[in-house]
Amino acid sequence: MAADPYTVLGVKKDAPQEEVQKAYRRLAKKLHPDLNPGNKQAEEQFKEVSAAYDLLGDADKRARYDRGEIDSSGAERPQQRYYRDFADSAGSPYANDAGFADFAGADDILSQIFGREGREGRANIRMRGSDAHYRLELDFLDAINGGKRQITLPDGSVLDVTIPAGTNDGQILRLRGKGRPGIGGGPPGDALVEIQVRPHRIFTRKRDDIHADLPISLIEAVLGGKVKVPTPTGSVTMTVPKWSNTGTVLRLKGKGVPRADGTKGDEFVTLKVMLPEKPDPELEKFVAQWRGADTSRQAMEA
Amino acid sequence: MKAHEFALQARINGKKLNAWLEAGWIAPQRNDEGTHYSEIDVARARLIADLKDLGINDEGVPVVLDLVDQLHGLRRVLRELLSTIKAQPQEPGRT
Repeated sequence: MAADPYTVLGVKKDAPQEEVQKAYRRLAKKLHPDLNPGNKQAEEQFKEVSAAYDLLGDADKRARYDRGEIDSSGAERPQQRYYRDFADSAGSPYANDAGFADFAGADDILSQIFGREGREGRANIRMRGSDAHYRLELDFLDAINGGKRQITLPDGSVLDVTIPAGTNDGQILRLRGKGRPGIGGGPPGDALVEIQVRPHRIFTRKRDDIHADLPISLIEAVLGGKVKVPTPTGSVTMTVPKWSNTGTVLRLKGKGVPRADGTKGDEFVTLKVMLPEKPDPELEKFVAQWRGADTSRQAMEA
Repeated sequence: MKAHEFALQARINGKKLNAWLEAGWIAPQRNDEGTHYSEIDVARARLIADLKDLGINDEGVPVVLDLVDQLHGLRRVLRELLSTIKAQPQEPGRT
């Protein structure tokens, strides 16, 4: 049941009909949704006021209400779509630019927004073009050593991308002004190229350092010697010290990833002692005669 | 919708409708097949009826309608302006 219509309109039970109308007009002028396009609460309040006036504004209905023949809920209005729900949408046939047409002559951003092509044309806006996003997959070594690449865009044009040495997986290269064109004379956006680096067969990268496993022979492990080691910039010779076990890590200084400041990371080589591929009877015979003093497994036994 | 359905929805009679059309308060779409009323015309007619309930006379109605339409024009431009400002990308960070 709705509120008492007399309370809603703020009039006495015995108020004359003219006073009821006056009260309604005073409230409705303040609350009509179309006279308050930006006020959402106005609609609810106006609904109450107009429902009350539906009842009390008509002397006949009012008398029946006073006798208790109808109650105030009988005057509730169905949901109404107000003019404001349509009037400021694009393409309204009643659209009127008289409230701001004079701004269009001003030489500033407002004039570009207000400048219209015809009555129903879209607002003409000057703005920076949006950024374009691309993805570029690189070989491991190309990312580390840098270089140039080209991306062919959907429209057939080509984008030149300079890969700085030391580029990492997930890094985003920004090419200024290579994005989408600006609107209304605005500057173009940037091209953002996300780099994906393919894994390498031998190398892995941890920050600016390169890690690699290096198989060495039993002889090299026991007696030491010079071995060739791959690095991102080619092979180098490294000395394996005498008696180097599996898991020994050797550092090649400056053979890692180039940094922005011109220095370089290091390469870490983890040795892996390998037995000869095929069984060697001579080695087997020798080891059978050789009595090893200890085994590193002892430490693990309970 | 056609005129009779419009009059029903807008809760006005044919005489009033003709007068409002003549005054240009309501401007339905017209083409070769005739006159077509849409929801915005209904809502506008309801507004006109409400304005008259408020005691605004026939001289005042077009003044109010014109100002309301100007207000909506401004609201639309303001909304476009705000959405344009919102769409402006942040100053790009350095990579």
